[in-house]
Amino acid sequence: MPLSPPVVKDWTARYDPTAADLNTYIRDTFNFLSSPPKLRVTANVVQSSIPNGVWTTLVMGSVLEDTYTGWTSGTSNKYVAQVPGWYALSLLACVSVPSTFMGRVGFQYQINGVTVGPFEFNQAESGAATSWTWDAYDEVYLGTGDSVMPMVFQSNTAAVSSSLTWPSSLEVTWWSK
Amino acid sequence: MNSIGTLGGYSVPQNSLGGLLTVDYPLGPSQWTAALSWPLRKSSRVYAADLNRQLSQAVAFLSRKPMFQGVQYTAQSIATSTTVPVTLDTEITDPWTMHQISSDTSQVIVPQAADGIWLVQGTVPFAASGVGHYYSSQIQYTPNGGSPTVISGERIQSNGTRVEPDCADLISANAGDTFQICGFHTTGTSVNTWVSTSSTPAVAYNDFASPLMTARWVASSSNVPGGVIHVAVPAGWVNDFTAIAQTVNLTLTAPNPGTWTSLQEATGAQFNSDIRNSVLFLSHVPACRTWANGTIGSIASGGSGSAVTGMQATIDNWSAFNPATNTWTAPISGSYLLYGQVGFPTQASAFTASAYLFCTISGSTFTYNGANAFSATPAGTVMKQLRLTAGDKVQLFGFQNFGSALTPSSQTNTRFFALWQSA
Repeated sequence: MPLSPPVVKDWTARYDPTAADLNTYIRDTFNFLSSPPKLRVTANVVQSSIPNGVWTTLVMGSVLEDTYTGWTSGTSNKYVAQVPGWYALSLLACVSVPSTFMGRVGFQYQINGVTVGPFEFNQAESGAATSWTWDAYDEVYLGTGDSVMPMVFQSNTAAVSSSLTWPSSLEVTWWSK
Repeated sequence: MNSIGTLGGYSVPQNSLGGLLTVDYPLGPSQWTAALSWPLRKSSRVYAADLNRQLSQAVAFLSRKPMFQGVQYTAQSIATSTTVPVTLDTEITDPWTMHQISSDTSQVIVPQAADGIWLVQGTVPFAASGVGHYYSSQIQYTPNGGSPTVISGERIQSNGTRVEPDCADLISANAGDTFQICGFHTTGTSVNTWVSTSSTPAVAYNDFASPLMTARWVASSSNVPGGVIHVAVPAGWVNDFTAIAQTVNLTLTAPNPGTWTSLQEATGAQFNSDIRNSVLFLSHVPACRTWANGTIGSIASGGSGSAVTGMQATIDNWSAFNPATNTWTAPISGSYLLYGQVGFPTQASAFTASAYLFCTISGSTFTYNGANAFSATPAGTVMKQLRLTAGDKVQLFGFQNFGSALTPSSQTNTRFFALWQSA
């Protein structure tokens, strides 16, 4: 059974701690605080169709670690928080840059289907590189069952493909209650 | 080690904290006694007060570290070529009362008993504006009674629609010091921030963003070179409550508490290992912050980038950075939050810049890129959570394609930090 965020105990006089108490308030507490939920996933195949002007799920096909089994692969492609708390989220998106001018590109999260920021927008250099990257970092509070879905947006005149030059990635770590 | 006699009766001193912990303690490490060694009493008894102070209070803090997150929902005009603190009109979380809605809403004030190393990060989206100029978010750190320091963040260009640069840094701060997230641009005229609202998250635009700032306590500012910390171990007793202590060195490691069994005798050794050492490690996790403040070498145009030289540490609590090689070495295994930024001075035309994390992991090299930055004055950033083994190395690399070699900008424009997150 996965551990939960620590519960603080008020120790009172003449209370005899049991082994269960010490396992809960010492062992489990420090095990959780030193090894909280952690996810690292990365893209391993080219995503061929990222349409213009539509926020699109950024597919992560390779799971590097998922310590609390929160990742759902396939079309869902999302992280579901197994315990409540503040999480550190970091995301990298990499797409192929066409020779034509490319407008704003960015990415965002969806938490339970509701789009939230922040995300990154900047202007790509036209045609000078074969790929362009954006990243973002955020801290968000997730309740148990809340989900995070990495997404990408681009406003080129046509669809673009993701690139594996710098594989897109998503990392999630529980920070605090 | 004397037996502590946990299963024996308790004798509670006058200053017992028993009964106060119905909610988490709002007290920081300076209020703890966690560096003391068990037994804490000549009698070897365990008092409720001791467990509350050394265990519960510390866990309350470490599981809910001081943090603030605020957002701006009313657009603000940002003057050109000026560092403008961004007002944060709405608090997302502020359990330590670091922020006031009724006063200067841009200020986030480090609370009492929360001195230490803070992770400060944020983003400032700008509304549609002119092309060909750079936009940046910045962090302004002001020591209590001192002069502000501006920490420059990502510098990127707009294509006439929107642009959203971010900024992050580790800052060693004391109670009363302030953090602000700021907007900066060079368009020649004022530009509004881009905001959404909490009730109408700009669905029509298929996006949601507003200026946002988060500040989080992450570690004590005390240095523990090589993970070695001094702890006081009882060598004799003046009275039942006061020990004659002898200082010994303790090498911190990630917590590895044991399992307790029924009728097991609670010893000072196990309390020290499981409680004292765990709390000390979690409050002194490895943190390092460097910036380009020495002799900075140039970086060739194109190619795969090269190491930024002239890096010097401003925070390095485990002494993990080697300025001679511009290399940070993971002092202990675990997952780290890594940040790099490489900025370049203004050139005649726009070009692309990037910051890379060049990592040697288990003998193999890996390069991680962040967000490319395109501007005549670009600053690229990378922020990544990466698993490292003790001894793995990370260098900050810079990339640019201006067409000739360029020397990265100095000090806060080019910097790196590493922060242990978890085992």
